[in-house]
Amino acid sequence: MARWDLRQRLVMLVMLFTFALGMLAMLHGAPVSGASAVYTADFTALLITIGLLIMIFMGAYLFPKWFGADPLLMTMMNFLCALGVLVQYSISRSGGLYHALWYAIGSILMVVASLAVRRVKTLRRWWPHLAVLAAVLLIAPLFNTVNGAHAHIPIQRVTDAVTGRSMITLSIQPSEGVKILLIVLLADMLSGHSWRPDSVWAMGVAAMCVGLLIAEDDLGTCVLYAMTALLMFFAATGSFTLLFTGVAGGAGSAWLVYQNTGKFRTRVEQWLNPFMRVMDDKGGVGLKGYQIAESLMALAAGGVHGLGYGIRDTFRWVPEYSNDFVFSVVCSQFGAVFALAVLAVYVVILFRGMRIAQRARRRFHALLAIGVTALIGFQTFVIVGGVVNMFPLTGVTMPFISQGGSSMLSCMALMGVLNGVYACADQDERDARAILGQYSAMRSTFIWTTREVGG
Amino acid sequence: MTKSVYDALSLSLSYLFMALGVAIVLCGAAWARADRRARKAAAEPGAEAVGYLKLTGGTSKRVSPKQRFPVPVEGTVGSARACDVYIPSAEIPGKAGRFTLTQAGMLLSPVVGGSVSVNGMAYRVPVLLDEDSRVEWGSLSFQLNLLDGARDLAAARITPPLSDGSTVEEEPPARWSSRLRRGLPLGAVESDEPTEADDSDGTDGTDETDETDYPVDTDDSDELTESAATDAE
Repeated sequence: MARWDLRQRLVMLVMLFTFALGMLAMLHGAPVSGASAVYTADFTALLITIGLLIMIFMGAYLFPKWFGADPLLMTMMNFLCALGVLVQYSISRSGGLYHALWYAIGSILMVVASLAVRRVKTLRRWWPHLAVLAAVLLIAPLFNTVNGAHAHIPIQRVTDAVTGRSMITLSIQPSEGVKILLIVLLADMLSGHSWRPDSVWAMGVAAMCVGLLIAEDDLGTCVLYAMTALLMFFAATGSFTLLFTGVAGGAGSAWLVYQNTGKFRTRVEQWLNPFMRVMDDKGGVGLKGYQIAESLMALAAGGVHGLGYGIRDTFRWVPEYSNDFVFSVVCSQFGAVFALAVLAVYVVILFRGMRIAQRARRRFHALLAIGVTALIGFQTFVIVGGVVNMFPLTGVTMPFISQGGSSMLSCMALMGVLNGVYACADQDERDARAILGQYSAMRSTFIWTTREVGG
Repeated sequence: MTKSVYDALSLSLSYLFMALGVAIVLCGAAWARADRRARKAAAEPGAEAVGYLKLTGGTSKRVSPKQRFPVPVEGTVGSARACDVYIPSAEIPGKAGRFTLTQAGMLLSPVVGGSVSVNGMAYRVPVLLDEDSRVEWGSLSFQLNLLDGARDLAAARITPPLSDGSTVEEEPPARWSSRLRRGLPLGAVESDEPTEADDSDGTDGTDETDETDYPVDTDDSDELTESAATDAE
């Protein structure tokens, strides 16, 4: 039997992981009644698993062939998506099905984004339109409050039959889409040279987005935007002065927000003292940082190897465990070693993204790849750091794993952009090699002629 | 399946998932590393640096003093990212020239219509850079340093195979040799047209060259004819 190459080995490992987890999900099914119930086989899980295996195969072999995508990037991304779908399925069946649906739609969006990057040369004449679109998308949610923030636009409301309260069951988060717009705009504006009017435009757009996000009270996304924009400015100009000025400005703004926003101050206090006992509104005693404390306990319960897929005993008290705290669920079910491996997969994706940025032969593409990589990296860093109480928790999602259609679609579109840059870099490299080949042949002819003719 | 059996199965499989997670990371990292090496090796035979250009005079915002720019066996030099030797300075045109390693030294060909200053003399034709030659663009001055064995590499590469698999020891395409026998300078085979970037307006023109695609399927004979006509004038 022929020795398998690295691609085949990696794809087989990812498929084996998905298959084993999918079989477990099928066996887990749902308890018929009570805690000691007999589990029934769930064939929906089997169908989802087959779909995931097909997506992994397509990502590793067919997408690179058809659209020039990076097979390594696709395989790693599909591993995270498969993990996300099955983890969400273990939390709730409907959540898993929705996640699988967004994953399928996101794959189409990824292909569209990849092809768009290959075609677009410049967006200069669209700058005002795109900037206005970003502003409108960020202003729209200001008039709605969902989960204490003005970051969502509610689509579907359901009235609870028991309490009579209206609950939002479906909403979209426009800031997830504006992420892509911001990166594309900044990459195009900064692909000229530094300190020209284009850079002022870029600064204006970035400042507008960050300002609107502060108004929305969506501090997590605001931090992501600010850090990504700063890194893109630094990559474009190479100016340490600008970098330090931006960092100092960000620190100053954070201090101002801390002084003037109760929500942010509470987050910092929870971060510093998550286990401090406080009196709640009803006179009971609770933990000051209830969310973080429960998350840390779930992490600890998971231990090194985890409690097993589908075991909900430890994370069921963690609030928002399907989106913000999904990393706690992964740690609880699969253990610390696997959680570190998941983080390492993100690191591989980031390194791959930076490599693609280095290989890009056009400034616009290089900045696009840097922006996308930075955004995904910062997003993972911010949410994982918040969950393990490394710094104050901000409500952002974990790419590809957290529940949330807007987040999933934006992450998939960002990966499409990265794949598009990869395909362009590949094409440029082939072209450059062809040119050098022609030139080499001409030079050899010249040398031959001078030798033969004596010229 | 009862809950207790499922719990036991799930717990035991968690070891498998742990092992698979670690294996996936290691395999992914190995693939990334192997891919990087394969690309480096396949980029172009002899694409590794054979010397370097060192900034010896002048200052630029994005080039630090005494910064070294690795120079491969052949390629392009300029301030456009697409260049093989990419010097991010506004003093340098987007595509300043093309260089090739020969046994005698590094042959630097300015773009058609452009010029290059070597050791204080301006040239519009290909010029041979010797060890420690000083190349100037604007106020920036660079010194070429060839690594040991670079000329041996050039000697080994003197008869590379042509794209059709033949070597130059065989009869070369007639349309090239006939023009070259007429004594056209090597610069005449350049296919690059001068861009706005080459104007000495103080800008480096990376904007323009960055958006320029490489001409791949150009008709060599037409290019040579046009270049020859230009030179004849």
